[in-house]
Amino acid sequence: MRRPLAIRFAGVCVGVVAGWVLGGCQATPDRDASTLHLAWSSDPATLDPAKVVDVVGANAVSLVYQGLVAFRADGTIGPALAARWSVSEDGLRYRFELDPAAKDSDGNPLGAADVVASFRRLLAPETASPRTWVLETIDGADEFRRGDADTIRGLAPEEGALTITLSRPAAAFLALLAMPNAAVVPAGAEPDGMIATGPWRVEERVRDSHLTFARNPHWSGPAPGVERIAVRILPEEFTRIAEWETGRLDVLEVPSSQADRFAGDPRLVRQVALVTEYVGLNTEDPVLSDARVRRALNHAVNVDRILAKVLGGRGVRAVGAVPPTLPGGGAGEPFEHDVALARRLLDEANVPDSWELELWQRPSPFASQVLEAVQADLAEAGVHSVIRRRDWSALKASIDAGDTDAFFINWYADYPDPENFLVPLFHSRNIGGGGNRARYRRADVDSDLDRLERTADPDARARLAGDLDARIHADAPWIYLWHPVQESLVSERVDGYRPSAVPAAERWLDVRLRGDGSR
Amino acid sequence: MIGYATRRLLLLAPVLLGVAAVAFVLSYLLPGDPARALAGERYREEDLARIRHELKLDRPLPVQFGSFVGRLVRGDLGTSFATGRPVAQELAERFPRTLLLATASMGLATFLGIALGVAAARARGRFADRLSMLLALGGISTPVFVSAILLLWLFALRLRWVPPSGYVDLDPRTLILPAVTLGVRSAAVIARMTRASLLDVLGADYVRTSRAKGLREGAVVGRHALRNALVPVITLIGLDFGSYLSGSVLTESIFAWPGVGQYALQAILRRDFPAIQGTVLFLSVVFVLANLAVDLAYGWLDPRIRQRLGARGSA
Repeated sequence: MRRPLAIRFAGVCVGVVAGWVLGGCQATPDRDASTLHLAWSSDPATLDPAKVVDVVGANAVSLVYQGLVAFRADGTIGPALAARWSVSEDGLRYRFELDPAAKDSDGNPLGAADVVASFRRLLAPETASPRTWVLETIDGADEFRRGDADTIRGLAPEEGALTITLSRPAAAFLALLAMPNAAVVPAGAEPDGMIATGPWRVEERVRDSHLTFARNPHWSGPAPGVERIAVRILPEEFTRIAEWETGRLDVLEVPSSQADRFAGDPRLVRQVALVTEYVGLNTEDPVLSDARVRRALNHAVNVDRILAKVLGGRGVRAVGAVPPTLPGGGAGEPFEHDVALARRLLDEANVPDSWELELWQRPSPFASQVLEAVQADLAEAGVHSVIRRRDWSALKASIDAGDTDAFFINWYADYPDPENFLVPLFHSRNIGGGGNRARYRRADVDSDLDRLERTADPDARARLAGDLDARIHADAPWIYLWHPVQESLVSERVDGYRPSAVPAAERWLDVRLRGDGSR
Repeated sequence: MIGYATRRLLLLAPVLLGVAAVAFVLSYLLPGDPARALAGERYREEDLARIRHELKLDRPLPVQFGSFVGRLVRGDLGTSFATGRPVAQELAERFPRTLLLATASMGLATFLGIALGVAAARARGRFADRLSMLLALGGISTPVFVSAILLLWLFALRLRWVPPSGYVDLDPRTLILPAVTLGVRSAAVIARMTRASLLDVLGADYVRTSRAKGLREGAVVGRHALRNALVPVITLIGLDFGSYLSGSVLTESIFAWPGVGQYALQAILRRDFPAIQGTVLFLSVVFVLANLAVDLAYGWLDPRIRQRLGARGSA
């Protein structure tokens, strides 16, 4: 009997679907011992060192490009394209001797000309890089950036070496050179990671889906322990966790909202991140310009309770902007939770009863939990507040323009140095987009921050940073919250993983995979 | 018919001009600043001004609109602020994936929906009818993010039949969960519409005549009634297919499916004006073409409509 066409078609469809399903019965992938599987929450918009500004992008750039120097896992600075270097006594001249074995991933030798080409590219007006500040202390960088000069005066390349002269002493100059933005792209190559100078090169890229990095066969540093890194782009937390649970990821950065789910897991690796979370207060606001009001808000908010309830204790209370793991960090005196004192300070400052504080945040469940807790604490001290939610782009535009009263944001370290917290966050030359979003302005602080930038002696630098951080903290330009603890799950087949101290500088060089591919 | 299709295609030009104007104005009405989005967390005002200049955002709005329209006329959707790549190329990379997902979802939805609808209509008032409509009601009432998470939990986490997410060329397993998530809701709507429409048609004189001639019930429904009952169903399928082709942001995001929906979302979050405008325009064309295809399908299903369209096309 001949069956109707529709029934035959249905049969074929069911067969195909069943085939797919049965074929997929072993959904846990066969993973060889040579590929490390990771997930990122977004696809890097660019791999161009001159343009990259976000943590994921900086992470990708750190894999495929390297500069004269590089961050080690512990945050100290080690050699990269430069095998060694020396600094003049006045701190103005840096001479870098380049590694003679340094080659790009196509096997072409890398020299001082490549470094100069990359620096010129970063500073050139037509590049329109937002990160020219990374190299701003090089002598002649400003004239070149403005288009008033054809060369950068402070760069003197020679065979196998490069001498850089600064216009003013900059104690953190080496750290700035280790940032992804100062990484070197081979002269004439597209900045897309295909021709790399770092330990990895981009082998395959499907935008919004995945990136595969393969070992750079010509990298002169110690060979990485795995052949490849396969990175999946997984925007949703739930999906990342599902991928981890099904054994398809080797490392998972645990989202703060899911921290309780994995508490006690022996595969958990924790470290205090070089990140500070805070509620910035607009110090140009007529009411918030009074330090008594800002201190009152700090006394009103029970940070320890929020830290315990919202973060499950996964953070270190901030008593300054500088994390305690950095020199000079943790020097401030915490504001005790004291509602009566908060009320008294508000009375002394004659804050009108009609005053309403706007608390701004980006729309995330975590930010809402934090600000709702802050709002409740403020209400107890008699401060009426409203929460405003905007997506990140709109929120940043409003904050940078000084249109917000108070805003919940964070600061990620670009390099592990107290200067990277104190100067951008509190120097008056950085008000707005420079990082000083509290619009904090004090001449004595500015002058000491300038001194901090020049001070090279580590002990003196730590003392000065600690003193500055404590003074600014006492002036309360923020409601100081915490430095979060970053948690990662690391599968049992991964050996030698040590989280990088610098958020964007993870290069996975020491990681090895155990043979059978199981977790 | 050809005349009708040509006229509809010609009408596309003014529609696109209107869409272009709306997309342009809406981009600029969004709060936020593309230059600041590109500048990150720490930048100097001079650098911000330089970015604005390079992106030509410092020009007066009418000038920007003029150059936008000029580019469109040349078939150029512009260059993404964020990635520095041509928007047309970025869409061309992603659209086939969205097309694949939309086709799989609608194929599943059409097959399931019509089958359920026919079964329900033929068993009117009986258990099979009630069960089918209960399932359809469940499908309609379940939001996509709920069904997505439930399916992911059951088939990827518990049963481990399929991978939780991702897009891998030539690996259809990654298509199953997103296609089912999207398709279930459409299947439910199609089932209800098919049932209602088929019940109407089954009461018509020509169906009674077919039965009186001694045709089997399957042949009456399959050959005579269903074809006419499908006209409103085709409208539904076309509208849903058009919207799936525009990208399904939630489904693509949950299943990490790198299609147009994710691209559009990122463009909006980054205030990437050329990407927003290019995507809106491209999707408008897709939507209009999908609707045109639906209109032409009416003619294929119903000769009376074909004659009407032919008459209008030649008028």
